[in-house]
Amino acid sequence: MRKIATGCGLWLALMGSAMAADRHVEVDSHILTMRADKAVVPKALGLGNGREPVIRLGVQALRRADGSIELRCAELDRAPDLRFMTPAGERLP
Amino acid sequence: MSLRLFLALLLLSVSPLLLAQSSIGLVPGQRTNFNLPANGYTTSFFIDVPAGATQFKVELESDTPNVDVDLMLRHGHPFSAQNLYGLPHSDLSLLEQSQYYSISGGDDEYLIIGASNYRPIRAGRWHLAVLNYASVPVSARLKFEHSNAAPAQAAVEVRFDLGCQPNEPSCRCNLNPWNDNTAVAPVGGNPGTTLGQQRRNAMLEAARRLTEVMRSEVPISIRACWDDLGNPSTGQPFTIAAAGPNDFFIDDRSLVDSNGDSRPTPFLPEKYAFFAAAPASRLAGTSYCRASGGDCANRADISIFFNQNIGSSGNFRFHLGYTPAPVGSIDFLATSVHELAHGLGFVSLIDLDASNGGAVGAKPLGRDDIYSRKVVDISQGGTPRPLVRLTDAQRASALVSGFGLQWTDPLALASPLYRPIPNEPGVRLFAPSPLRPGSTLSHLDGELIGELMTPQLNQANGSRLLGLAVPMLEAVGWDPRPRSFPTAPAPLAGQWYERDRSGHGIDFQRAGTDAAGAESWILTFYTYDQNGLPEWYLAAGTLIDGVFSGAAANAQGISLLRYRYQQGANPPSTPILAESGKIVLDFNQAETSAACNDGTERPAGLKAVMRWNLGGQSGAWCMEQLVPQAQRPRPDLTGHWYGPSDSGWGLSLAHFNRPGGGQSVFGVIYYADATGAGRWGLTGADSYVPGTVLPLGQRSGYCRTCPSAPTPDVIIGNITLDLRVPANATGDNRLSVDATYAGPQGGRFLRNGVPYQLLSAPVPSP
Repeated sequence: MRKIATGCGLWLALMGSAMAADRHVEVDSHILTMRADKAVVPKALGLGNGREPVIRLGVQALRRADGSIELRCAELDRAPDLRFMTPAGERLP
Repeated sequence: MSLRLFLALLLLSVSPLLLAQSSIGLVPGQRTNFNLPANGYTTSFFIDVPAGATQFKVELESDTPNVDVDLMLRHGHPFSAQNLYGLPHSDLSLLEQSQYYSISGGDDEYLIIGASNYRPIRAGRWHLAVLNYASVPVSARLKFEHSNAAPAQAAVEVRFDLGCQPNEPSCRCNLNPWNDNTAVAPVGGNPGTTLGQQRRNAMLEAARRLTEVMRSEVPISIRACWDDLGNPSTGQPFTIAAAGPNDFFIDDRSLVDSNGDSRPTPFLPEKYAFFAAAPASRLAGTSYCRASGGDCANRADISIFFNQNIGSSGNFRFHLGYTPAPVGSIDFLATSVHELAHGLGFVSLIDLDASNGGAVGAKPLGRDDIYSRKVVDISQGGTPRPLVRLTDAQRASALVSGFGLQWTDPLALASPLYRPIPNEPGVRLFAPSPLRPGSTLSHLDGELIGELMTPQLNQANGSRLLGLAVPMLEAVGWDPRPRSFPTAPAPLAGQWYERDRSGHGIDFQRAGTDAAGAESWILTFYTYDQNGLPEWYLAAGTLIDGVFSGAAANAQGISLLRYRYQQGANPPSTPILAESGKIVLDFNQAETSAACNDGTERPAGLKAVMRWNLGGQSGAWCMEQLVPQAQRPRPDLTGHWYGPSDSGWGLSLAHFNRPGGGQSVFGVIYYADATGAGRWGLTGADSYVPGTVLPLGQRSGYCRTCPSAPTPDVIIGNITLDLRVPANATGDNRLSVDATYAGPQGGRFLRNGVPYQLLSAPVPSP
């Protein structure tokens, strides 16, 4: 189940331009000097890998003496070791 | 490579005949198909953005199955097709030329640039690079469109289907509550007729309310989960819901991986600060996975977790309606909007809990986060102090000061919702004593009744609207206002130094312009080896958008070269790659870097962060120019000098007006000891007269990673600087040197009247 929730920013609707016919071109090209493996290119970001939160703030509930509920914020998690990670989750030094 | 050959390459690089650049324009609305060889790239494409357009989009797709293609974009001069050594680029060096990139692990990339990006849409020519990571040729296509529409509301993709992946051993994401088929009656405007449907509807409604006030062309991706967050029946406090950003981006080239590399993140408006993934992706002009790299199928900007032990009945139950929660129930919508705001970047990364091995007040990796950058401390009286510029101990004190943490970004202060408090400069943040991890700093003060981002959610008084959090989120990457295109810093050619590493330095000189129009520069790093003996390294590279990156001389990206000299050989100097390294010099916003905020007082003026890697070590130094522009004479002999008939050694000269009149020089001569190893010596004259014999000193120093120490000089000979005209021709310029190098590498380096000229471009007169 996957759903686009909100927003009117869908680009195709925004553009609405008629599609012209495709064309084919020849380009100048070069071969990369490095091994074509993205693992050798460092991640642009340092914390996390886009799956589990790096830091997680939560709302906790407490029952007061009068029976009412107090909702209070708390830190649940913080990545224990904030180091560089690759998109695959591999930690880098 | 000899210096002579190096110069020849630089000269060759200015030839307009070298390679065709950016020769194929994309037609708006039309697909352009092309083929790329395996592991190949092209810099042939460009787009022309018309005046009046407010946003444009470039898409890249491939028809070849299971391949990885990437898209890069820049305004200004084109991407260069090859580097200064005539070698094809690496993936990293293409990224270093980019202002935007979309580099997921798939074959579907896009970039959308609008008026509020750091480098906003601008009429004129933008250039593309397309890269094929696959080991097979690909058939790909590009499409370009532009529009003059207003910025759109952000679209949110809520992933109710993104369960734990095989590579997430600690993941706990229960999706079943989203699909609970228990029949329920519609409640508070929520039309769902099953519990799962109502939960999904309520989650989507929370997202919708968030995006009503956020503008982004890039969708926000939220992973929605349930988890065991404590059981209400125990009588103990338990967690209702929790959320946070799944990643943070930072533009800091001093943070390196095990290869000594770091990827630039040039789309962030503030350097050296962590941005949460969602606003960073918006600024990147593409989705999170495309901005960060890697797969797009199972990653999200934000994760939110709800407590699966809270049902729809009992003492603690969720109210899933869109109306305010009745007494005794928990407002799912308000809780969700509050938590999602944290995921959008309403969060500080300053450590609030020493139990995890850190220190209260510590910054992650010693770096700022963009949220904390907007906060000042007034607890000590006097001038408000930026929170990120305090010591850990000072921050720890401010965090429990009660009133000391103040949000002073002007966007919030201009909001009609801002209610000033006498003698307080901004919006008061939560700073109770004792510390409340999770609440302190990352929330508004509890007295701000009616605000959603207070540490206690008062369901009776609180609304589901973000209130002051809207301008506060705008300050951390969500500002929809149009920006002007930034101007890249323009460093002055000459000597630069790190005042904490006295005795080391660089000579940074402009050489010319490469075929693509980028400025080419030469950097000479004079430093000391592990034994404190002088040694030097040379890098040639381009200065693009204020960042100098040494061109790679081999496939490993080695760019900071150590040379071995052999007189009479052809060429006389050859690079020793095993003794060489890498270098990046970034002039953008260096004053905000960790390197330039290390406790040392530095005067105002342009600075650079120099990240070097040599011998398995790396460092990030805050560089300042030795001679400011106001002291430059006319004509200015400052530059990198050499003898075209006797290459392999040279001179870096600083020329400056002396206080009280006259002109002085300071020179570093690069030569070789008897083993051919590069050494350097110093000379100088308070009052420079061409042709005067000057003493030549050798300095004993300390290694790059050793504690700073005195650097005594001994006289090892003399040098005669007969330099008169700063030009790339010898003319009457001559240089003589007679140096006797002591020790096991000892010997005599003797030259007499060598015709000399500038290797670098003459420094323009001020």
